[in-house]
Amino acid sequence: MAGALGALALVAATALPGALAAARGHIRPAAPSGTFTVDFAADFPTLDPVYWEDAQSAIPMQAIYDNLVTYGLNGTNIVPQAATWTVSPNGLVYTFHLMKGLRFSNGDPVTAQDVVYSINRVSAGNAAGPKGAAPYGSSYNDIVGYNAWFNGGKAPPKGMTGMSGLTAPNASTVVFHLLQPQAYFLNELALESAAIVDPAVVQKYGVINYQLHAVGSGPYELSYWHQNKQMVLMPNPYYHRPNPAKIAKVVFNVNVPYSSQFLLFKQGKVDMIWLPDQGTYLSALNTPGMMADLYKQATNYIWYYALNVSKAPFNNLKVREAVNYAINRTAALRLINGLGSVMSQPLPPKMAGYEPGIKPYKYDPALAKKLLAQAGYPHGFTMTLDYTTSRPFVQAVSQNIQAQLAAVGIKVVLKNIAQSGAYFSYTADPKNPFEMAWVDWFQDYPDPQDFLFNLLDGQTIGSLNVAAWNDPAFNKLVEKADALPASQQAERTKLYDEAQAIEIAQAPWVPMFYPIQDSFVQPWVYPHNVNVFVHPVRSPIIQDMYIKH
Amino acid sequence: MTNYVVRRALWALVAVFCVNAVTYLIAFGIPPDPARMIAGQHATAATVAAVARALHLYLPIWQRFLLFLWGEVHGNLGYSYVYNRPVLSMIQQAVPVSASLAVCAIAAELLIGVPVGIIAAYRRGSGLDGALMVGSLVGISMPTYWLGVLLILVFGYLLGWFPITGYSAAGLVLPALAVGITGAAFYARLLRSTMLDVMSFDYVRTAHAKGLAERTVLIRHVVRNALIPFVTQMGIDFSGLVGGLIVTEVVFGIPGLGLLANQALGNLDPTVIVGETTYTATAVVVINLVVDIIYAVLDPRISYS
Repeated sequence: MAGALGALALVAATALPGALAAARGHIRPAAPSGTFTVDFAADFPTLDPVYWEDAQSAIPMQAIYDNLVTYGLNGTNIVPQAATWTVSPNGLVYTFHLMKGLRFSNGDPVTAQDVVYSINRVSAGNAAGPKGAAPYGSSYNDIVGYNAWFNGGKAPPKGMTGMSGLTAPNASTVVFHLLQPQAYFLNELALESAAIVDPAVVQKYGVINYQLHAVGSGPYELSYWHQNKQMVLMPNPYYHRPNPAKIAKVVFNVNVPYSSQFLLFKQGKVDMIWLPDQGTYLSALNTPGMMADLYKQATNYIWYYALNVSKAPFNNLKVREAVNYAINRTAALRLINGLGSVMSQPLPPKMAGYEPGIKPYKYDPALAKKLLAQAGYPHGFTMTLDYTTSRPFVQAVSQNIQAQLAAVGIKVVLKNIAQSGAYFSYTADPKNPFEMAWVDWFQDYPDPQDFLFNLLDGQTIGSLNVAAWNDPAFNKLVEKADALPASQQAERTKLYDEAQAIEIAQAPWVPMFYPIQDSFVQPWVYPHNVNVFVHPVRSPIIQDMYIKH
Repeated sequence: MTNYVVRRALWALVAVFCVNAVTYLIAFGIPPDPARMIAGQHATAATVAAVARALHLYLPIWQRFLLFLWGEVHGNLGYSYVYNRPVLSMIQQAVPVSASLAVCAIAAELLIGVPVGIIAAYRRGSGLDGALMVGSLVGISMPTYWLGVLLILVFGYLLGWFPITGYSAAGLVLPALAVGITGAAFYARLLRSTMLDVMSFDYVRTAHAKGLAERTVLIRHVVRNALIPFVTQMGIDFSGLVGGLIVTEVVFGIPGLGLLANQALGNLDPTVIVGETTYTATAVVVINLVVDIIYAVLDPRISYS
């Protein structure tokens, strides 16, 4: 009896605190353990929100910084990160309430003034120091006072401390006043450019050196960054919120070619191969057991060829349609090892507004020849196809298309453009005689505005609208949808779909694929959830990972 | 003598200036819109314009070059368009890495090439000589890229004796070996032929006649004299290595000047391309200048006018 009571007491003594804690909603976390090692083919361009514009830098940045909001684990919905928020009914005023107890990894408390400082810093015309303005600084151009603060790309006017529409009425409240409703405003606050920085640290090191000593309030902190060699993150000792860091040390080695990453993965010396190239993917296909480590899903990413509609021959709709019918996209999928699906419309499958009922072009070379004859090219014509070899498979796909178009009488001359970053300016330059050019576009955020306005509206000719397509009906629908607030999402979706139908009918593009992004992860890295390693929007979420051998 | 040194130095400066100017024109002339490259595809036109102004891209190219020269003279080579850090610090970090690889590579070439050359000369005409010469020919013909990957696979992965990637003491062995095997043949064949030359000279016959041991004749008389053109070859070799071994560094993940150049060209990063080419040109020119001066000091007859 006493023994049983004693046993009961023992069980109660050990189980009760945990049960009570769980009941209170506070799970006592286990101490962080293990090491997570990832090698990369090139170094990180930056850790500073001002210079940020690439996916690789976002990986450590999301671990060491907080944003006001972020994306949920299971999808593309926006959830609080450093703050909760309310929106005024007219969609013009966003009020954020910071969580309690936010602290930077150096112990400094995070205040609303720090948030205001961070957004103003990235929006300034001279934010990037010797390199001018921040690449993503204009994301915040709908905040009242932006134009005055941006000052045409120069330093802000003397005496001005920030955008007039961005205020901190007290230490835990941030208020944004917008010029017009913007349904994707929260998405823009989830970009790395809006990460919350510690003004004291930024001012101490200056804009070029700050990134070597980057400090944020996220679950991890930057332990050190030896540029071109190694970056190490460790848990932020001042992070006392749910879901703290669970890994004791995160190691990033750089300048490791994919072939070596593959060997190191097989030896168990790296824990993840991030977005391997096609060659590594093929090697993994042939390695027993390695396909079990594959995590993949389609993200909001499209691959297509833009047709220059401003001049012959592609100013003729029938010619554009003919090229679309002459290409066998399903066959071309083999050239990317099946890591994708055929693209049917500008919006990708996970985007609101995507219409599953729209089918891709069917492969019909006979119809293509007929359309060419009707357009006045019964014997075909000669054209150039521009592409970039920054992704090696693009050359294979382009050569494949060259062969397919030859079968309907179109002679294609392939032109390799050296580099992808200059691509948009090269192909969008009106003095440039390009006719058909490869384009790939990865979302900034999961909103149709990011695709339909940025890539197809008449206002972006000369920058992102490579096809130089300008349809007034399309422009009107898209711009109207852009200006509606998030509360009218259904109406926005309807307008975007109407616009999309116009685009499909006018065929300024040759849509190709929705690529599938993939990574290989060792089985001892948990959780085994594809959204942690290949999230639809975010980078691999180190915050959620833990190691268990 | 001073006249000679001053003249050589001035021409060196002219050479560096020419390299600088030509590289600048090419690197900044090719990308049609450098500002768009930096700002990225998601930036608005206003951002691109701001970037263009900050980089003086509205000025005509000759004015930009002069601004760049002014900065260069003050130690400012600009900022990488991709990596957001000063070009000079990128180069400064990469130089010791490449230098250590260069030293190890030459050491490997010598460790393989010298014994092979001596043995081949000494056993001239034998099967061993033939085998060594064919072997060294195979060595020269192997692409460094292919050999490097093979070495990684065998010694790094299958046997696990050396790291697969990265810059460390152990990590320099395989890349040095890759360069050594492919480069040793030059030294082996050179040493063999110069030794054969020297072995036919009178003073060697005299040494034999004096009754010296074969070994002593070989080392004290033949090899030492055969080494003179050899050292010249080493100088040329080192001069070529000063810009970094692009293929070797890329395959093995060594963060030196070669890797930097490869990335800069792939990214079309004009400031890094110009900065690194200028650095390499300056280094080569300085080395040649120093060598010329040493020659002039050693042999006063030399003074190319």
